[in-house]
Amino acid sequence: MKQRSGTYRVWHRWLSLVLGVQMVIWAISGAYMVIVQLPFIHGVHLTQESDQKLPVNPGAASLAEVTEKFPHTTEAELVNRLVNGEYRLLWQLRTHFGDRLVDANTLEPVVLGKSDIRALAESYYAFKEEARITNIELLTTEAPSELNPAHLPIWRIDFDDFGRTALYLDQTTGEMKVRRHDFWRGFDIMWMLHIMDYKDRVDITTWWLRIFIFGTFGFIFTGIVLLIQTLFSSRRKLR
Amino acid sequence: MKFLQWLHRWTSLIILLQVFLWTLSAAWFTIMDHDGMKAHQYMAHGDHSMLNTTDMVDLNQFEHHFTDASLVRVQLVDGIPQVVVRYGEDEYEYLHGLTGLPWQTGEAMATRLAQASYSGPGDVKRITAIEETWELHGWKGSAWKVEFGDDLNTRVYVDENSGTVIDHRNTPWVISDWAFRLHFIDYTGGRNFNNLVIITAAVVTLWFALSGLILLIKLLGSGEMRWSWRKVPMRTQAGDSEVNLVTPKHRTILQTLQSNELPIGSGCGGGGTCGLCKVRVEDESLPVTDAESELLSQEELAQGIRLACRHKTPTKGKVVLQDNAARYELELTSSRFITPLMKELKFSVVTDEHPEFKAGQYVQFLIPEAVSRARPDDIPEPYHGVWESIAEVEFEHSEVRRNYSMAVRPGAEELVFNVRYQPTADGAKVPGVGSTYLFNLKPGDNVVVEGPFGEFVRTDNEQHVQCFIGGGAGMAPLRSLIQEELESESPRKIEFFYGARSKQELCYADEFEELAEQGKLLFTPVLSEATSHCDWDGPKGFVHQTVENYLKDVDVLSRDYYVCGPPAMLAETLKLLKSMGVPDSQIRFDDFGN
Ligand SMILES: Cc1cc2nc3c(=O)[nH]c(=O)nc-3n(C[C@H](O)[C@H](O)[C@H](O)COP(=O)(O)OP(=O)(O)OC[C@H]3O[C@@H](n4cnc5c(N)ncnc54)[C@H](O)[C@@H]3O)c2cc1C
Ligand code: FES
Repeated sequence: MKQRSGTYRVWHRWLSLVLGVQMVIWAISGAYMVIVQLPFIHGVHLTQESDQKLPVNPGAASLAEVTEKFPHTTEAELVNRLVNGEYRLLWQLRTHFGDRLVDANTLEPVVLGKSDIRALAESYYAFKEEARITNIELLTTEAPSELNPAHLPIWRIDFDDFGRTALYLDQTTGEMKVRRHDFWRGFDIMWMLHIMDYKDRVDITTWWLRIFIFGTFGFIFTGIVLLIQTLFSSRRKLR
Repeated sequence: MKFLQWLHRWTSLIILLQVFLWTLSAAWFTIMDHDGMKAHQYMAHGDHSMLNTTDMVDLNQFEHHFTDASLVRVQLVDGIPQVVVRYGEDEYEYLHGLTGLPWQTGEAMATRLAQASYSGPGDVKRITAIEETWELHGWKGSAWKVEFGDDLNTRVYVDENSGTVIDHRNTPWVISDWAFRLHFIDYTGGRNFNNLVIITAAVVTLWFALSGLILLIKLLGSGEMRWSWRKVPMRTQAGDSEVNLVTPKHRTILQTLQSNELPIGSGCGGGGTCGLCKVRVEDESLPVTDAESELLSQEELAQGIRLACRHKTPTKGKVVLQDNAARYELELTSSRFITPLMKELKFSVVTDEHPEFKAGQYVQFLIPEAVSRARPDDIPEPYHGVWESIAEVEFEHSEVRRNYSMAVRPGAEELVFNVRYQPTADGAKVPGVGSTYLFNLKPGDNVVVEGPFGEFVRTDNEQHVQCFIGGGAGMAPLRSLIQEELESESPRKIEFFYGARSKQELCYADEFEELAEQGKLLFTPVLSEATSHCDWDGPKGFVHQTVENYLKDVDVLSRDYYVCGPPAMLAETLKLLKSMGVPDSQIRFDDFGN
């Protein structure tokens, strides 16, 4: 007749006080992350390719000329990119001293100005008619929390749209490096809450995360004991 | 609350396994960290040699490939310039920069590329050409699998078509991959955490966690989970021994005593209405609460007697227990119905010591948390009618404390109790917890009791007639008192009025009629619902009415009165005695509360 689930119940309750709130946070953040589709979070729908196809006969300077002028090149890319209002054939070079953008024929450096960046951003942006840019800013020393500082210096272009889209374009090459919008920002917060790294949002090995995870095992255990006792014991107990 | 609890339980049954798997895989992730999970432990940094364009075919020769191309890249692969042509956003063609022919990665080159991407301690063990592998989800084509002899069983996949090192794989990666399958509930290996299964699981879990949170908040609000880090000492004297208890500051004296298993009376669970939790507190500054001025006499208050449930742990002074009570374990030896709704329970004492009690006293049963059946399975045939309306259900209850009076004289071999079943009251969901539990007790079952307690004991007025008035379960203490009186050296005159509704409810009638025949007492049973077809020639109506008629012709003041029974009967009888001018000192009563 006697039943002693008292201790497990007490443990379950006290553990829930410590772990329960985090469990709820895991559940909420997890639900957000699984329900909102990942490509949408990544903002794939927000942009499209901006470079145009290469002309059939590019007639660019030969690679030998390129490497002669820029010997530290490790990779050379030929692209057809919007600069100064028209599409131009360019060499985009990865060198030991960073990226360079040069005219494909003359090998003269091409420097992108603010208006070039604006035009590029508009051409990347998928909803052309509604492209309302509210802010263009060159970030050089400080990155917002949504951007990895390794990308600096970089242009930030803000759009006035539903998700407050921000595109990040490389200062030298004009390539779109990063896309952000509010659903991504929400996802980032959820991710932060999920892994419990409230600072950099990357570390999944903090001691407190580990304590919570292993505490959860204990919590689940007390729950299982209670479950077995209350769900399956009534029949057995009565004779 | 109950419904929420029920729902929380069943949801947990559905989602438990997945929650466990989530936790398990999370434990693996937090131990492995990102790099470990990607199999990048032995991944070397990329090759950054300068482009060497000597002998390279002129780009213009590739012209015919450029139709529809959006990007052309020249890079070094294994020291050879490679031309990558991109069509659209993600279609690629790889060409050999020295020959202009499609790129081909041979076994030797693949080995070199793998080695260049590898920083671990192992050597190449085996190279195999493969067409497909589950280790590279979403990849198609032909590749070289280059295996290294190291502690992690590293293998490097090199794409044949491009010479790209697709990725590294190793044993921890395989485990991680399984952890991802568990965590994302995607057993295809695609690590898609937006699938329908996980969305469903997430919604159920969200509900599950929230219901838990609501329960927790309610629990916190109810004060059931109070906790204080501040502990205070409480000096306590029980009999001759003194103990120093340490207890959380917010607890009442009653809670402290109960949690330390010190026997203390209580009939209302700390509600301040029964007046049974008396202790003496040696602290003059302790205030007198409203409940105390109502339930305790001036004399008691002056002595420092207080109700243990009305005060927090006193900061100074000693708490002195009033009764010589202790904890006893009892074993049920017999259980039988003595009226349709009352059982006589007999117990032997398991504990070495036998409780020393006075007639009329009670003990407190510690009813454990359990699932009890509203209708016991041993109801005798004649009573089936009465029980018909009581639903056959099981219900769960928490632990409670309930008091039951001894129904036998002190010194008897076994302890006897009369327990009245408490049917579900109006507005209640379940019948009485304690009585139902005890009704289901089977011979051989054990219970723990604390006691004895109570002041419903005999007077010492030698000349007085002893007048017992009772009904229902009030039989128990009265029977004990009468038995003790009869056993005493010179028994006083005894009158016993007992009220019941019907003849069926007249318990122990034979026993008292026999004593009456022997001239040992005057026994007057009174029936309130005697029907015409039953042969009852005794008094009808309420017992206090019969008593009133009887007392008209006798000396009211030369009697001591003992009253115990249902609340209405108790109240009426006390009112009657007051109106007849009986002083308080000659009236003793026990209020069961129901
Ligand atoms: C000193 C003393 C001696 C006693 N001696 C005896 C004795 O010898 N024999 C005896 O039978 N009893 C005795 N009692 C009474 C006994 O202690 C119990 O009070 C009694 O058995 C009822 O307890 P229970 O747990 O069965 O019912 P409880 O669980 O206390 O319920 C009592 C009633 O309240 C109803 N109820 C419960 N919850 C609610 C709600 N939320 N709303 C409305 N109604 C509700 C129940 O349906 C039930 O009808 C004594 C009491 C005292 C104080
Ligand atoms: S327990 Fe009833 S008054 Fe204290």
